[in-house]
Amino acid sequence: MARAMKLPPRVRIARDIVDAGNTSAASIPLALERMVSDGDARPGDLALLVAFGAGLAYAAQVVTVPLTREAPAPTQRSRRTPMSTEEIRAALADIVNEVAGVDQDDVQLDKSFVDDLDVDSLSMVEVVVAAEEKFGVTIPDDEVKNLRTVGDAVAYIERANAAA
Amino acid sequence: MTRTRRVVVTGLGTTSPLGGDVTDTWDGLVAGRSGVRRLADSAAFASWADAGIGADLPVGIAATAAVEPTEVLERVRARRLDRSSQFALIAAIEAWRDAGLDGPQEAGELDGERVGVAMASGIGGVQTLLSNYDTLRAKGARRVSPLSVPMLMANAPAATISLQIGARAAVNTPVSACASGNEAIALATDQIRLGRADVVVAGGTEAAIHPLPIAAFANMMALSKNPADPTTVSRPWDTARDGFVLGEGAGALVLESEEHALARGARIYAVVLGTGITADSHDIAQPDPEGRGGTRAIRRALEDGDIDPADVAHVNAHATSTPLGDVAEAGMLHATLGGHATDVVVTSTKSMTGHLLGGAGAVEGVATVLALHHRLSPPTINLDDQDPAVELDIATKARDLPHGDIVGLNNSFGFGGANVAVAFGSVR
Repeated sequence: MARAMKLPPRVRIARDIVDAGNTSAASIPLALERMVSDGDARPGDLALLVAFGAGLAYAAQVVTVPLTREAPAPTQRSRRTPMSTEEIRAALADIVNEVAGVDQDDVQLDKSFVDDLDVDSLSMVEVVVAAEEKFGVTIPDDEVKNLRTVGDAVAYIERANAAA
Repeated sequence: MTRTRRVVVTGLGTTSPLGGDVTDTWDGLVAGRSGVRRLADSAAFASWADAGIGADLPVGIAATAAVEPTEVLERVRARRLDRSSQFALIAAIEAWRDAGLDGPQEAGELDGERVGVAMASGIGGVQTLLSNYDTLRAKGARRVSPLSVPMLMANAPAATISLQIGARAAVNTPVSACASGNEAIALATDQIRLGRADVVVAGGTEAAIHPLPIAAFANMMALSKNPADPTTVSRPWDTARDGFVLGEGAGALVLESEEHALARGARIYAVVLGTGITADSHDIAQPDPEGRGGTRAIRRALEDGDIDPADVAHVNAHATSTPLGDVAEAGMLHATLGGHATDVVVTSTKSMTGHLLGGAGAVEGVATVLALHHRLSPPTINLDDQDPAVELDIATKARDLPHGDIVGLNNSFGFGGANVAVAFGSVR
């Protein structure tokens, strides 16, 4: 189907069936959750959801991946109490304020670091390094370019915390 | 050579051990106030102690900035600049406003392609380099600031000013150790004379008061180790002098073609009459004891400005309070000014500001221009017992300078054998 639609290589495709098996009606939510967790689907991305079922009924829709407002539910992987999304946002806002002088209240999830907050590339590296220390996570350089919005960064930190 | 473009001084700025601006610095100079203080009283000292360094320094004094640059600049802007760039920016902004160029710039009436910068530094962003090395050792590579390079590079102060004022002609960073600031004035003058710019912000900056440069200068026997009252330690030409006192800060002068200045009705402080730049090729650190390179620099400056030595009324000497250098410079003045040398009112403002290295020639350039403007020579303090080898008329109190067309000479000499002299002329 991906070939038939000539989807460009940058489009990520769920391949969780190889270890999840056919989960039937749960397949789309499960696959989407995993893609969000793995960073393959980010808040604001467009997602094409396609399913078919017995009797051969087909349905497809395009949705926008929502902002992650809450930490991922399964917390048993982390022994400590995870920071809430708002706590991470507020701590990140303090860092952005320190590095770039942006008012904390302006550092909201939907704001782009470059376009809205005027954080240049060198300052972004400073933010990332300070965030690594603050949140005890590692943010590889390859990942930094994907952190377009504050929400991207918060979601990344949440996932990294959850995986820790 | 036919020269059609005269260069004039239309703006002055400084932040120095005596004050955060020109007014406070000049008042301090005229009053004979010392800017030398105990390092233990400085804000930086506590951070060195935290890092476990500085306790064993053989020198416990320096001429620290009277006003912390971080109290002047907006916080986020300051944290992206090395201290040397902070000083340079503060001095340049003052000079730019003093010249009345901020209004035309903001109104888009100034062609940035005709505006240049020559902002010197002797050592560059050494504090940024060292603090990031401390971070590398303590916390690892990941924590080294991505701003390190644009902060520590030698041309950072000049580039910072270029960004501030929209200067898009040549933006230069002369580097000739302690002659750098004066060399910037000389190179900016050339830039305007050659028609490559109409306005150039020229000057020098330094922020090297840190245990490593202090230890290094002390170990090469350049710094005074005199344990007396800090305000008495910088004593050029005095028999008890034993080395210089490290200072920090910046000076900036707006140089402009006379034509450009007259066309916009700018106030003119002084004229840059002539400049001379030479090298000793004698020793990497020691001055030529006969001062031949310095003599040639002064002579060239006089010739360049077609100046009769008898018109020289004032010299702001390099005189850093070292045993050899101070005497050598006296010899240069005798060699160039002849019998008139003892009629000239000579001073070393380093007796009050300490030695600002790459900033020295610029702050002293500001002082020389103001001496002509106010017809008043600042004193040399701590000259209790003048070295008999120095036959000069050194002002020990602020001294009036004569009326009429007079010339003030600003001398600077640097490690590496660099010699720069700039001759300024008074205006009526």
